[in-house]
Amino acid sequence: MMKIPPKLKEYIDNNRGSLPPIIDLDEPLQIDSLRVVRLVAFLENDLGYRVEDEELIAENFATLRNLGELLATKTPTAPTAEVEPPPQQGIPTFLAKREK
Amino acid sequence: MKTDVLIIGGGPGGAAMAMFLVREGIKPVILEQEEFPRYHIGESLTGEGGQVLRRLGFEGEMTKREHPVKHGVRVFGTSGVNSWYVPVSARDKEWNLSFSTTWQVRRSDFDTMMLKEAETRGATVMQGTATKPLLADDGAVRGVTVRWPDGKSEDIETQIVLDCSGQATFLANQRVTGPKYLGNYDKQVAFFSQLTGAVRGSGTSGEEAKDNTLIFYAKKFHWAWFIPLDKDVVSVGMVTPNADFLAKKQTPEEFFRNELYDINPELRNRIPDLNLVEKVHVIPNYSYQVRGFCGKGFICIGDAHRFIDPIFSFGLTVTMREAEFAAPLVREYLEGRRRNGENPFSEHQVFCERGIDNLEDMIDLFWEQPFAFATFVYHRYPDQLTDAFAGRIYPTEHQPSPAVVGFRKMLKRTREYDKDDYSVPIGSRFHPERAAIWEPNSPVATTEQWMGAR
Repeated sequence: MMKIPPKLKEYIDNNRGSLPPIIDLDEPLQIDSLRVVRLVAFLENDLGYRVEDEELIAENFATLRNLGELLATKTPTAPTAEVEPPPQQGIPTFLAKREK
Repeated sequence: MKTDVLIIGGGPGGAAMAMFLVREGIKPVILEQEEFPRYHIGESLTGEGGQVLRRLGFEGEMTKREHPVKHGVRVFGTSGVNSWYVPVSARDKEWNLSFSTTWQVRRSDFDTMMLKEAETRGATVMQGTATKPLLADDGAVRGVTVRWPDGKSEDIETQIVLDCSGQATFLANQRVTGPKYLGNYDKQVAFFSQLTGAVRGSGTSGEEAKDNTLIFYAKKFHWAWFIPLDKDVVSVGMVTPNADFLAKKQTPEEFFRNELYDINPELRNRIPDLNLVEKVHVIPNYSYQVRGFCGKGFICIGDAHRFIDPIFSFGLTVTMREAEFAAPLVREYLEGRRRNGENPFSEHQVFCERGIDNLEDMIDLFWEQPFAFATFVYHRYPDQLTDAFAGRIYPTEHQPSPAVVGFRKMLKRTREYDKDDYSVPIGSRFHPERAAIWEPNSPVATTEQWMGAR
């Protein structure tokens, strides 16, 4: 049985506009690509999963099953870890938090 | 006729080149074949483009002329509902990042202002057409033959020719440079015009600022731009694959009117009526890269050696920045330095190429993997991509940044610069059969002929 973190399921269900909560693992998530970007941010910042650059393909975020399979390969660093963008040596950051 | 420095082309590249040379104590001749003002595309500056204008002392004049102030670029996704936003930014000497602004420019006005000011500061502007280069025995460029408006020809002898001829790529077409390769974006056509009555942002700064650039994404290689030019007029353009246009058998204007609204739902909201106030212009097959664009007695600037894709408005910025980088080198050359060796400007050449390679990797990834790109912009590397969008793309500007390195990894692409011929053009890697279209021994004489032969 595939384990989907309840917080993740809740996040997705809350970001599907007027669509009802997902009941089928293979049901298309139907969230707009820019919301998927926010989903990645949620996975990394709120749930502590690190999504590799190579994994940033739409297919991995197409269904709950695909997402579950992606996460099954990972161990979250901490339940509420804040994953910072990797610092570039010698460069102060200023805008990284502009979204918040 | 004789002059130390001849600049071919009086667009913003040529005019900026002249003004930076005047700062070095050099008074060049600018050769421009058209009478200004004239229409031209390429109407938006990035953050660093604005900084070049400030360094040239144009801030007050740009404000006085009421060029629209650009605070950032907003990109609408396919559905038109969501968007991501990149603010125009600047870095100070300590490399601290801050919000900044730049300008949108109606090119007929802007280019005339630039050229007139270059003349005021000491350049000589002459109307005429460069028809062929004059070469010394060792292959160095020692001047050009010019045809004047009265039809007479004359040789102008110079120590150095600066090719600012834009997409006309004068020295490349004359095969003074290395070969000219087709780039990745050679199967698209851009249609563009200007219109009134468009709905702009309602704010005075940030994401909703009224004069920001808007980009409407449809699908790979399908997109539209929206660039305010003054209080009423907006430049609107649409890029589509060549094949789509040919299949419809319509005039450019019919095609533009019929297809524009299909690009993105938000575009229809922004342009309730197509009140065109300019004819519909077309540019096909615009992507190319010229190798060996610097050498004895010549440097090609901006579009005269490379053009990738208009999507993020880098053209004006890159050409003016390359002019700024080249000016002190030209002075040294005139002083008799840099005369030994095969290429007096080889470092400049690799420096410029590395910068545009960084841009190319960014643009390629945008098209290949828009979702990964948006994740980088929005979440992973907002600061680093704010830099790239501002045009801070050169090796002296902390590039390639981790974002660009990430793009390369995803594109499975490597860049090498330690060889004599530096990096291999990406276009030729994708299309090895058509590498080096302009090689002297190529069986196909011109890009146009090659396109016709397919």
